Amino acid sequence: MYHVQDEVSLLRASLGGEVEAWGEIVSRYKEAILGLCVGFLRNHPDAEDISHDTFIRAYENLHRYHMEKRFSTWIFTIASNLCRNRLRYRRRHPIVPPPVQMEGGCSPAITIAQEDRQAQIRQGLSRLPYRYRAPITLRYYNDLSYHQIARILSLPEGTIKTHIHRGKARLRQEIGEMEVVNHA
Amino acid sequence: MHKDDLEKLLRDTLQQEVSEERHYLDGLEKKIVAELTGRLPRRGWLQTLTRLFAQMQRSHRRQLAVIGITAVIFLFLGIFVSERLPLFRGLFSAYDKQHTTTITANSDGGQLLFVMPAPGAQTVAVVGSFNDWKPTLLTDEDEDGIWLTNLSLTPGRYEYAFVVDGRWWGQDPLADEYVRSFGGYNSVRYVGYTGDNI
Amino acid sequence: MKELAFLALVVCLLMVVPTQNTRAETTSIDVEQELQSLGLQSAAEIMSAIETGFLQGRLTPDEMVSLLSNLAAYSGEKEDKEILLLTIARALKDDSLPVTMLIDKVEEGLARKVPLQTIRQMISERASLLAEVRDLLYMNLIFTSSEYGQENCLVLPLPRFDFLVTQIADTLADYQESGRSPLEGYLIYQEMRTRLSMLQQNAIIPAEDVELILERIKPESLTHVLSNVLSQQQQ
Repeated sequence: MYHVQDEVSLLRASLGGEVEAWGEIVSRYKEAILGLCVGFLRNHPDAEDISHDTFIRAYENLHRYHMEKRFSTWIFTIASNLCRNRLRYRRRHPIVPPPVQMEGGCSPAITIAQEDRQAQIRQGLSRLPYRYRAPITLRYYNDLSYHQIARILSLPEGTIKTHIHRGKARLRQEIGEMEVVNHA
Repeated sequence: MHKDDLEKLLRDTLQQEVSEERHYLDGLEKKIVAELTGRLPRRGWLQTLTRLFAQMQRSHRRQLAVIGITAVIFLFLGIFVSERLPLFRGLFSAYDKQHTTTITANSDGGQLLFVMPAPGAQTVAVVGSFNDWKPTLLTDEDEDGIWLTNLSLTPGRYEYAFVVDGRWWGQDPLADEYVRSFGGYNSVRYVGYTGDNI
Repeated sequence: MKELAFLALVVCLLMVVPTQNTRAETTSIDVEQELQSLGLQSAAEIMSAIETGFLQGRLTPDEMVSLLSNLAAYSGEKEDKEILLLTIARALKDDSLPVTMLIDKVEEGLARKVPLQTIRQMISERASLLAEVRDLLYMNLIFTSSEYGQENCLVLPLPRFDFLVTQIADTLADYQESGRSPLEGYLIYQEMRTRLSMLQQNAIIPAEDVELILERIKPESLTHVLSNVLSQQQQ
């Protein structure tokens, strides 16, 4: 466990070659980065792979990061670009089996109804086009502002709002359709 | 479904998915630290320099930047002066010219004449993006070794090559430009609109 | 005599009608039949993408029948053919890209008798380039549908947008295939300017589109596009 608590000090120490300080940064951001990758890629092995690469790449490129800017936006941008490249790679290298369907695997504490709903959302997210899925993940998992999302995805803020709105509308529609099929 | 329900469900679902990855997350920082530590000795002098630079105080960085910018200004001044001295003239512009093609537009109403001198050839054809790269035969009616065909093409940019007795010939002297393709060459011709109907 | 003339007319008509029928237009049914004859596992996915291409006006049944029949007749592994078609299908449906350039390159490769593996590699690179160039236009606020309509955005009709994406990507691909450095942003920019100027001089694209691209796209972003594609291919 690294003792310094302040993020900027940790980053400065990492820049100075103190790998342990970077370990602390990893431990603070690992859930956020993995969640982003799971949301973007909808494939757990790829998400693990890209999360790992994000921390390695970020460390290697830390000298390019401006300390006065928000670190989370910077590292999320790296993760987002790596995810985008991986998705393209997957589309163009079809020998690799298609993305593994997310298994349920919920803890017993979760009720059956919740499990159903979450399974529907998982399927819905997997079917959602990437342009909608990415900003939705950053908004609802990573809790980012429209402004930050726009910077990470290099798109205008208005476009982000439109995509989130349309993505949710499509999810609602999909979930509705699934319910009809299940009850039929 | 209510607006807030969906947002909550999305948040819960993604959190649940991440919590299922506990096994992966648990040792991640140790794994990354071990991997980076293993790599440290291999770090080159350039990286060490950039790291030192990044650690510098802001005022020091500014000083260094001023020196750098001054050096760049002098460099450009040097280029500017040398361009105006007869001895050096053309040294830099030659590089530009090398990559600028001088092309004449071809816009004779979509009719394009393909000509290929091939004395003694058995068959001469033209293949290109206008015929899905399927051969269109050229003819040599007066048997002077000059093979011809006239094709009617819609406006556009077309890549093509001649095929003389099965051998590809991608450098037509009448072409507007040439490009490399699959290790060979393709000729390019532009067919324009004759009127202002765009 | 009149009866004889009438009879001749009827015979002529009978001869003409079936001739016209046999020259009926190629449809998606013909495309599907050609695709089935290849016996590919992902035929359904490929066909669905092709149908999308027809609906968007990005593909014609004629060019698809030509491509599929040429591929069927070409010697090589079935797996390579499948991957080639999947690459095009996914570029079209998942990435929503114009694919004319990809189809043209496959046809050229087949005509040149290039091994399928080489064609596959080239198509994969060019598909990445198309996606990067399209994203570059988006980043510079040049869009194609009202979906992205922001106040400061420029929205072009799909064929015009597709044509620009294709021509820029093709220029970058030609540049790359000529073996020159992806780091020479200024040279790449010059190549793009030459290509667009030629198209404009021949009135193939409007002058305003050329001005728009030359004004908004900077040499360094072209270097960035090529580096991105190279890094994707090396993954």
